[in-house]
Amino acid sequence: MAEAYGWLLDLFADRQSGIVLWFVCDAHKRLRLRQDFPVRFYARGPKAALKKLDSFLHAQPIALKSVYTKRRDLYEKETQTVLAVETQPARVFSLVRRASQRFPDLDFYDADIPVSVRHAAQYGTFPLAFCQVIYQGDRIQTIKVADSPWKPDPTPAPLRTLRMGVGCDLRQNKPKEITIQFADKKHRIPWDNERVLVYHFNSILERYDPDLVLSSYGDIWLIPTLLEAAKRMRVPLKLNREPRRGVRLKKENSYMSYGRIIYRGQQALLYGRCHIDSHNSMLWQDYDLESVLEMARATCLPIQTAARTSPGTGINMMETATALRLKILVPWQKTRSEDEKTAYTLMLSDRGGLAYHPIPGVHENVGMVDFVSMYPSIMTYCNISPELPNPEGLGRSPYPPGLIPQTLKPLLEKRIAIKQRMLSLPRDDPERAPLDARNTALKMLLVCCFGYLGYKAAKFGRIESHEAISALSREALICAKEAAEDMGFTVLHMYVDGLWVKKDGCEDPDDFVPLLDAIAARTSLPIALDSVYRWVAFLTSRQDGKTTVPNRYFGVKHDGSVTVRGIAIRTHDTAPYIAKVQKELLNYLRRASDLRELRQKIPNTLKLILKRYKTLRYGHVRLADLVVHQRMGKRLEDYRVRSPAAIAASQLKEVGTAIQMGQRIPLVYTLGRPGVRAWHTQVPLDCRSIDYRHYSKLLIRASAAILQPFGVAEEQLEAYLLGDGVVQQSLQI
Amino acid sequence: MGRTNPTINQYLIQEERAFSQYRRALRRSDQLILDDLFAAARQHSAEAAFAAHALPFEVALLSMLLEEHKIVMRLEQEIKQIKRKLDG
Amino acid sequence: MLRLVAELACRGSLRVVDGGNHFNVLSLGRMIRRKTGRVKAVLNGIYVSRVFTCIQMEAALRILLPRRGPIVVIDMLHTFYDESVDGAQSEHLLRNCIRHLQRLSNSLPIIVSFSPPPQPAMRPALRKIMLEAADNAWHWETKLTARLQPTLWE
Repeated sequence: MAEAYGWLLDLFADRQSGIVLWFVCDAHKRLRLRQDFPVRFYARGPKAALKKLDSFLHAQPIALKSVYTKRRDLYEKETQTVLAVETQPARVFSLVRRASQRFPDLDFYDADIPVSVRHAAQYGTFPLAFCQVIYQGDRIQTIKVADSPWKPDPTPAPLRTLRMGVGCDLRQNKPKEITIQFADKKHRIPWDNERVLVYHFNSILERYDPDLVLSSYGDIWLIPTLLEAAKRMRVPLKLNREPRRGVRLKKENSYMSYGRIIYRGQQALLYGRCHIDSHNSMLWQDYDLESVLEMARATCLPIQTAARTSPGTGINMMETATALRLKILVPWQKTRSEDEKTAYTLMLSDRGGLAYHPIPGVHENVGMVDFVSMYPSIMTYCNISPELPNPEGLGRSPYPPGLIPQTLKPLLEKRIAIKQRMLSLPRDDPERAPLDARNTALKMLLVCCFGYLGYKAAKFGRIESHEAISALSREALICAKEAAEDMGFTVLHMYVDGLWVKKDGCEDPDDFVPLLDAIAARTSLPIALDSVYRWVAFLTSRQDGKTTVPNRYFGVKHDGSVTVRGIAIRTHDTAPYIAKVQKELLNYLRRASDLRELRQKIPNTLKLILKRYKTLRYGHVRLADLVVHQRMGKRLEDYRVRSPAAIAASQLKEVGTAIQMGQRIPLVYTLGRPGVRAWHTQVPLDCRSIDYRHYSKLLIRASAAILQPFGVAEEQLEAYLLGDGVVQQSLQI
Repeated sequence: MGRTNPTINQYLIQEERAFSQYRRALRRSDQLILDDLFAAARQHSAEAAFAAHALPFEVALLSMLLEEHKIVMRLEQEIKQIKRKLDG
Repeated sequence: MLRLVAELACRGSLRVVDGGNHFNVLSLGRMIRRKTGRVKAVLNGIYVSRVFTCIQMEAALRILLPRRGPIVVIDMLHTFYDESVDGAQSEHLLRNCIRHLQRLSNSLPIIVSFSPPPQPAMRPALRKIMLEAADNAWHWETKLTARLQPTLWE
C-alpha cells in the first residue's frame, strides 16, 4: 500500500469501469489512479411498470444491479418506493435513455449527473482539492479531502501551464506558425511542413508535460486542424495525458434563452490535462485563469467544463450536489409546474424588481448604498426554497434551512469574506488580483441563482419561490427608502437592489453609517455603502428628452474613479473610436471636484469634441477603430428585413465563412447600398466607401450623451460642430 | 419561466398607442402636451409596478396629476417670490 | 383567445391552461373593464396555470378536476415543438394530454387553441393528433405568435 498527497486535477469515467483521477503531487510528480465508483439512478412509477423495467434492464448487455428502496422527493414529506439501478458511471446515461424510450411514463432520477459532482457529494472532492490517497497498484483504497472549496485563500497547486496560439487574428490572416510559451521559453513552429509540425508539437508537449493548455482559438481551429494534420501524417497527436484516449470534440450549437440566442462554439476537451480556449470560455474574455479555477472549485465541474459552461449550469450542479448529500432524488426531465392560481394573484406575483426613473441632472455628494448580493441574500436569510412555504415578509424563517439556502450559504459567505478582505488591502497589494478573480466567478454564480430558480428546465426550480424573492426585494427596497427619508435623505434614484441618496453635510463614508444600520435593522439583510460620488449625472432618454432612464448615468467617485452605465462606451456594438472619444471626455471631466468646476470645463470639452469630430470627418481614423460588432438574433433565412448584422453575415456566407445564430458579426458602415460591409480579409473593402457621415452622427450622439445633463441638446452640439466651433446664441451652458 | 405580463413600461407604451387616434386628431401643439402627460406617467412607472393595480392606467392618470400638481406648486412659489420682490 | 377568456369570465368562473406564455393579465383586465367595473372580482374567478414544458402540460392536465367552469387551453402545442424533447416523446405526451382532455370533456366544455409550428414542416403528426381528437375545429387567418419573454427586471 502506498500513500500520496496531491491536488485533484482531473476526474472522469473510465470507459470500462470506475473512474480515473489525476493528481498534481508536487512541482514534478503527476499521479494517475483508478477508483471503483458504481453509481445509481432511480425509477419511479406503478409497481407493475417498475417490475417490467427491472426485467428489461437485466436483459441489456450492460452489467448492473437493481434493488427496491425508499428515497425522498423534495416536494413530498414521505419517502417514495423507487427502483434503484447500480452500474458503471460510463453506462448510466445510455441505460436511462433506453429505459425512458421503452417506458416513457416512468419518472427517472439521478440520471444525468456528471461523475465529478457525484464524487464530490460522496467524498467531498472538488477540482484542485488537496487530498490524501491510499492506493495499491493503481487502485485507490481510500481518499480523504483535507480541504474546502470555501476557503477564501486556497493553497495554489503547482500547475504547469502551457500557452499556445497562432500569432495572428484568424479572421484577417491565415496562420503561418504556431507559437508556444512555457514559463520563459518561447517556441515557433512553422506551418509549412505538417510532419515536422506534428513531431515538433508532440516533443514540446512531452518535454513540458503541462497540466493546463491555454490556447487562442484552440477549440474552433488550432486543435481540430492539428488533429487533421496528425491524421494525414498517421502520427498520433500527444495532447492527452490519458493513454488510449482521443481528444473529445464537442459540436457547436445555438440555443434560445430568455429571448436571446446564445452561441456556444465547438469544444476540444482533453483527458488528464485541461484545455481552455481564451476565445471560447465563459469567463476568459473578461477575467483570468483564477476565475475559471474558482468556478470549478465551487461547482465541482471539471476545470475545462467549468471554463465553458454557463453559470446556470454551475448553480444546477451545486444544487444537485446538495441534493445528493441529503439523499434527495434529483429529477431528470420532470420539473415542478406552477400551482394553479387566480388571474388576480398572477397579476400580483408576476412582477420584477423596482427600477425607478432618477431625478434628472447633475448631483453632488451622492451616496450609493446597495444590498449585498440582494437576491441570494434573500434566498439564504429568508429561507426561500421550492419545498418550503414562502415567507410573508422579511425576517427569520420558522423552518430549518431548505435545499437552496443550504447550497447558497457557503457561496454567499465566501463572497462577503473576500469582499471584506479586499476592502482592507491597499490598492496595489498583489493579493488583490487573485482575490478579485475569485470574487468575479462567485459573483457570476450568485447573480444567476435567482433566475435559475425560475428557469423552466431547472431541476429544483419553482416559479412561486422565484416570485416570492421578487416580492421581498421590492419590500426591502421600499423599507430602505423609508429609512432614508425618515433620516432626512433625498432619494435620487432606486434600482432593484440599490439606492442613491444625498443629504446636506453627508460627504464621507462614515456619514452614511447610521443609514446603513437603520436599513439593516428594518430589513434583516446585509447592506453596504458602495461608494460616495463627488458628482453623478442622470441622463434623460433619447426619445423624449424628458424622462430619465433607470440605467443611464455617469459619475465620479471620491477616489477619482469613473462609473458609466448605458452610454456608448458600455454598449457592445460601439465602434472603438467613438468609445475612445467618450472615454476621453469623461477622463477630462472627472478632474472636476464639484458642479461649479464641471461647468467651467464644458467649453474645453466642446473643443475636444470638435477636434475628434474633424479627425473622423476627414477620414484620419484607422479603419479597425470603426469596426462595429452586431449580434445575429435569428438565422439568416429568418430575416424579413435585413439588419446590418444580417447583411454582413450574408456577405461572409458568400466567401464561405459559416455563421451561427447568436454570433457577433464585425462590420463597417459604407456609402450607398447595402450600407454595410463585413470586416473580413476575404470581403473586399474600398476605404473610400466608408460612410463617415454616419459615423459622425454616432460620434455626435455619443458626445451629446455626456453634455446633455449640462443643458446641451444633441441638435445644439451638431450645429456647433457643423459650424466649425462657432458658439451659437442658443448654446447656453 | 417567470414573466408573462409585460413590464409596466411596456404596458404604458401600449396604453399610449391605444390613444394614437385621439392624438392624431389633436392639433400639433396639443399633441406635444399629451406626450408630456405620458412622459409624466412613465416617470412613475416603478411606483405603479409596486402598486400592482388591476387597472394600471388609473395609476398612470394619478401620476400625470402628480406631476401637474408639482408644476402648479412650483409656479405658486415663484409667483409668491415675485410678489414679495415687487412689494418689498 | 384572451378576448374569449374575458367574455367567459364575465359570465362565470373558468380555468385556463396557458401553454405559450400568452396570459397577459393587464390586457385581460382592460378587456374586462370594457364590460364591467368588477375587474378584480372577475379576475379572481379565472383559475390559471402556466406551463413551460410539454411535460408540465401533461402533468397540469392530468391533475385537473372537472370543476370551476369551462376549460380553455391556450397555444397547446407550443411546448411540444421544443427541440430539446425528442419527437417520439413529444407525441407520446400529447396523446396522454388528449386522453386527459377527453376525460374532462365528459363533464365540461373545453376549448383548445394551437398555432402553427415555428418551422412549417416541423412535427406534422402533432397537428394531426389534435385535429383528429377535436369535435369541432375553426381556423384563424392571422397567426398567433409566441411572445418573447420580457426580462426579469422592470
